[in-house]
Amino acid sequence: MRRGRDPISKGGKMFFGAMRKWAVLVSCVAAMLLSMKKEKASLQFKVPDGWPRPVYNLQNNPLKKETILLGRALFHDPILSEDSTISCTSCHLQYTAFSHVDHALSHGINDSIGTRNSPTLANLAWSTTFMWDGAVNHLDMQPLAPIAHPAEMASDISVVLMKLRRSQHYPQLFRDAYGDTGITGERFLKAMSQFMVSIVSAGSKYDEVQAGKATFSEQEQKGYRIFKQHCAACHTEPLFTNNTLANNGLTMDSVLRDTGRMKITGRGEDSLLFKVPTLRNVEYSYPYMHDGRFERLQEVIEHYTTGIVHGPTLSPELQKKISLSANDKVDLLAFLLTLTDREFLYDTSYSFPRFVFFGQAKD
Amino acid sequence: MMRMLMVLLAACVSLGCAAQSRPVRVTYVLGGGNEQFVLPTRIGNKRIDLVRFYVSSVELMRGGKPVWKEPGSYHLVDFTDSGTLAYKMKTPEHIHFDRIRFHLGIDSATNVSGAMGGDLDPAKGMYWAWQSGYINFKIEGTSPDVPSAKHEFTFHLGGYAAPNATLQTVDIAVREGKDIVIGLDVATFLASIEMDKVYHIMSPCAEAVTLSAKAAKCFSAL
Ligand code: HEC
Ligand code: HEC
Repeated sequence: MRRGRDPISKGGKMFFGAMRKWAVLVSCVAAMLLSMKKEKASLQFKVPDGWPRPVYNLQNNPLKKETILLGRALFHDPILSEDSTISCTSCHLQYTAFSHVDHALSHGINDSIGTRNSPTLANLAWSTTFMWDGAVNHLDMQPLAPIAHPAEMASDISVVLMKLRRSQHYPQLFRDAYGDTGITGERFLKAMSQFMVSIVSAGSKYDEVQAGKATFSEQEQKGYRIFKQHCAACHTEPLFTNNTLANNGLTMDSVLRDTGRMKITGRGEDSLLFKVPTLRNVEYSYPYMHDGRFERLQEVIEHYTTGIVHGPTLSPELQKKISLSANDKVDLLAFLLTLTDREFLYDTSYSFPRFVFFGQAKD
Repeated sequence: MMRMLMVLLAACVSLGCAAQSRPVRVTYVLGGGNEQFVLPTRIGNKRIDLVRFYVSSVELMRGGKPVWKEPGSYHLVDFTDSGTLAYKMKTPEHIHFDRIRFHLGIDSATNVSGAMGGDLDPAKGMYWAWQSGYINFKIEGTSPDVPSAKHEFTFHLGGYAAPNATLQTVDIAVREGKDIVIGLDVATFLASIEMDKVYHIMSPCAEAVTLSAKAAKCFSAL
């Protein structure tokens, strides 16, 4: 059965007719036919039922099997880091919903420690802003940040491009994706985006219930009600984020003193505003929050019920105390666990593309 | 697809019958008036290693009105790369103009539209990695006035969002109908900065806005 996480299907029907009489323009027609052939290979992005249109502009970067594969290879390849030890997957591991579970603050090159917890990656095609403080304004530009970050991959895009040009596999992968071996920043970034756009999680029990293919237990159903009442204003269905930045009442960390959005804008009213993360696969995105301060979901729920700090920028949605009984808390937790999408976590179309580097396995 | 076909057809047809274009050439030089420099260079007690900026949305004007807008107008001007210092514009024949107007920097729409190619490729070294946005104007060098150990100054001016939007409009008189030579009076620009106080700007900020406005005033046609 076709599921949300597999949003790609063949598409692109062409209309081509009346122009044939322009016999003079044979060359143009030939060019057309060539480009038609190319576009046949482009894929259509499948939006899961009931979801909004993606934010990512696919017209500017039409999906293609080969380009997604290129992006996937790059995502898993430590060639992107200065000493070729760290890949995107080092911090965004598929089995843990593309986050980094062992560490509150993500670890990068030379074991240096970053200042933030690596977030889960899913449904990025619907994201309007990236990073905990919204510092990155477009998915295409996201890879530039870790590549250049001294505590992450400590390299530079122009250096990365040089390494790719000299590598054994990439000129061919770029040719497959783009028709020639030109390796530019634009092509590199757009290929990374294609892979990231293809990372869709829409096959959780929650989704099955929405589609009428499963039912919640009584406990999950109660939890869902509580969630809609207290959490959904920010963690809005179906993406479980409303794509805003908000202050959800955490105390400022005393060591890092991270002010979130204010770091970018310098404005007091942006103090302690952080991106509302998706809660899809939240079972696996621990530790929680931008600095990974909570190990367990129970602690998160405790925070929302008894830990809210009433600072000047606290979100209006959290001004009123959330009172939950012990049973309510268990119900809410049970609902949050219905957002786990196991097929997504083990979907081999996201995993290291061994065959690209070592040839097709014979089995 | 249909639209693409039409464009192709139009292009083929126009190749045959459209007016031949007589391109106006634009050249950039470092320096104003009489003195011009090639990098790296010394000016007074300062050494300049790098000057690099974006010119975009170029328009030719006559009597205060635009007579021609350059399509897809984005140029990286890099005084350490002579290949970027002169190019022909695809202007029509017999064009009359008395001013050139352009943006110093990259407009906000382009800043939020994802990866682009050519001069806008983020690999050109004019894009901030950790906070999205183009660097509109870069100048680097050393000055004894800078109180740091190595006396280096680094001005990376950019930022597309309020309140620290740095995009500037430059509007300068040129000689009617002639090729255009645009000079950046770098000596005047550097002299306008109190380097004992301001010498390191690498992110959008109020100071970057001030310096961008100063830089824009240092352009003239030679
Ligand atoms: C050393 C660990 C590390 C590496 C390596 C790393 N990331 Fe990240 N990633 C993070 C952290 C930490 C954040 C959040 C940073 C912040 O908000 O300041 C993040 C954020 C992101 C986001 C934003 C998600 C969102 O919803 O806002 C995306 C997308 C992303 N990374 C993709 C990548 C890609 C692609 C690569 C490889 C080029 C990569 N990451 C490499 C740790 C890492
Ligand atoms: C005002 C908006 C808002 C409301 C309401 C809200 N949250 Fe959040 N939530 C946030 C923000 C913002 C963050 C990230 C904060 C940070 O890291 O600094 C967050 C983070 C989380 C995380 C951590 C996710 C991760 O992967 O790190 C969980 C879990 C969570 N919220 C659950 C809930 C639950 C359950 C409720 C309802 C009881 C709720 N939230 C209500 C805004 C909100």
